[in-house]
Amino acid sequence: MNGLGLAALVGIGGSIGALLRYGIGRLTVLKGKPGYYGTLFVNVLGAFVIGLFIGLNLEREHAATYAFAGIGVLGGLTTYSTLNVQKATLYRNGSKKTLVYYLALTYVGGIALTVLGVGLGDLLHT
Amino acid sequence: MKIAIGVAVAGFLGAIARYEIGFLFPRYTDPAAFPWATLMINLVGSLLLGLLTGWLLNRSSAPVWISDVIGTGFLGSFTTFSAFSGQLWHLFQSEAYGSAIVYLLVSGAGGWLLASKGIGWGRGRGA
Repeated sequence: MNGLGLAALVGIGGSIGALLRYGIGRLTVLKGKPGYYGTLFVNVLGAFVIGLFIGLNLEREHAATYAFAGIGVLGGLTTYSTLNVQKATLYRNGSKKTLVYYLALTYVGGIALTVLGVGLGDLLHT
Repeated sequence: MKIAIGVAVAGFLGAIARYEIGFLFPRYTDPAAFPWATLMINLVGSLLLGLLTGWLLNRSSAPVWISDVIGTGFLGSFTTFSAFSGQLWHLFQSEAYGSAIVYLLVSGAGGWLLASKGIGWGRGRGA
């Protein structure tokens, strides 16, 4: 596939990922939960699935699928800008305990789930 | 519904911008190479979302699509946590521990500081 085709796959995947994240964010607010619940969920989910893709060696063996699902959908689903703004907002508003939990769950949880995903992907990789 | 279409279009553009910016940086096939492109994207995106968030703080009459389309759609899709986490794994796997720690700290603390400054500047009263 040429570069333009890959870029289109990334874009389409990105719009799907962004819509999913937007929908999950709306649902979070609708349920009366703070916005960071939604961000935490999409980020740790994305961290797990990117691990699976690494374990499956998707980038090297299925470049087009990786462009769509990895760079596009997962990149669009997860976010770092909202994470950093929420960290700043939680810090300013004085919810320090919540901030510590948010940081621990995002970073320790996200990285642990990536490692778990790589292990699982490795097992499934034939 | 109109907002959802806006989020989808903005998500499309954000992901393509992230993908194309990756080509502006030297492309290494070495998994231990420092992920400059993603770092820059996540830092710039955090600053811009901070500016937007701060700017909107004193503008409660601003239409809701501005935050949803530009913030959630474009900047949310532009920045990424999945690539960050995957790259950290690659760095650890390659025993590039120094790079991994610098990457984690600059993304996590540097991006936080930029988001915080951005909120202050966006409000128009300094950080």
